[in-house]
Amino acid sequence: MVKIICTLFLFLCTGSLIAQETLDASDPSNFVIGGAQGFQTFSMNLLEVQIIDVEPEINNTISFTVDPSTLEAGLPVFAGAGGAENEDLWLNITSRSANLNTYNAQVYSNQPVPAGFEIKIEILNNLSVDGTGDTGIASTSEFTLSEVPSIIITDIARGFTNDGINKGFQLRYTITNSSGGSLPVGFEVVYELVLN
Amino acid sequence: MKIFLKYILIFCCTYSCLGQLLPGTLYGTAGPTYSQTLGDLVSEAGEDDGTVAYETGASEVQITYRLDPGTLTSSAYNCSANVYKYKVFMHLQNAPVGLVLEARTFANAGTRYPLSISYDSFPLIGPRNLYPENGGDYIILPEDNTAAIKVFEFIGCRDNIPIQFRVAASVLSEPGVSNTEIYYTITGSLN
Repeated sequence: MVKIICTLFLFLCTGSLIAQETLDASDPSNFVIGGAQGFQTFSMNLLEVQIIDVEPEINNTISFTVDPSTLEAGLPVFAGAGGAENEDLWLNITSRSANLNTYNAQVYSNQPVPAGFEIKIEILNNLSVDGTGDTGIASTSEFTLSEVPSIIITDIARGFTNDGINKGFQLRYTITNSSGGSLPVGFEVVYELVLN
Repeated sequence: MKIFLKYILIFCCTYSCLGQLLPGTLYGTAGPTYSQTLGDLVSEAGEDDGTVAYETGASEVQITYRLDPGTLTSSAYNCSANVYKYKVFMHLQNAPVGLVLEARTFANAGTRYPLSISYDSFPLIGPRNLYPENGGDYIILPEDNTAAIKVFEFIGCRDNIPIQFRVAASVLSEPGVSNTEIYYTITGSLN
């Protein structure tokens, strides 16, 4: 038993001895005799970066569920009260802004939303789930999608949300389609970061 | 009497090989530079830019350590007559937030100064070689002058020791040009 304790003690001592050696370099007495101190300058030039994407990638096609209690015979499926909802998508953001500049995230469609269609977008969390730094403050109001950009997140400065679903800002899409039509080919919902 | 003489001989030899701790000077090339390009930038939204690291050239930056010449002695003479072990500690000052700078050197990198001396045939505290810490892998440099970290050690004066750096900058770092001081603190000792 004593032997085991001794071995354990030696092991712990060894562990503490092999820790990386450090020195108080602020104390000249550590190096003025038989040593020296000097420095070089490391020059670095970093670029600004602002990127935003919608997760999951690569295919972020979404499907909508309908509350059966809103179905009405003779009306299109997505025409019911409240429309159909989807909460599968997340916005991820990485931003390095200069000085005190902040960026906004905005959303718009690349084509007019067809008549009879209504697409509403809402961010469910005010602040990023996970992440580090200033990743912005989301409005939790509902926005109706159109070709005119709507600002959905403000005050994005230097930070990152981390990558993937369940990181960043969760989106809720609500679709009402009273005419029973389809979205045109090439219809896109565009998210972008713009300087405030 | 023979034993007494032997001790005197050993003492004299030790003294002439180790001498005394004398002031030295650290010489260095220009420091490393890093100018970020689009190819270095993080390309996946949500990730930190620090996930992409940049390495400087293996011998882009070099340092030299020599003992100072005396009134009647040259630097070469002092380095020949005063062989000690030198530990090199490094730390940063004025680093931007989110900068991770690592450094390393390589086993026996650089050259002995002078190239050959009498000590080499009787290396009391070991051959005049260079020994990197962490097996020659990168070591993160702290921004704390009270805890400079040991990166390598060498015996005797040494020229042109290459230092390689790896830099990763978080998006939390301010964009644009920044200047960070990389400090080298060298201490001489017998062990």
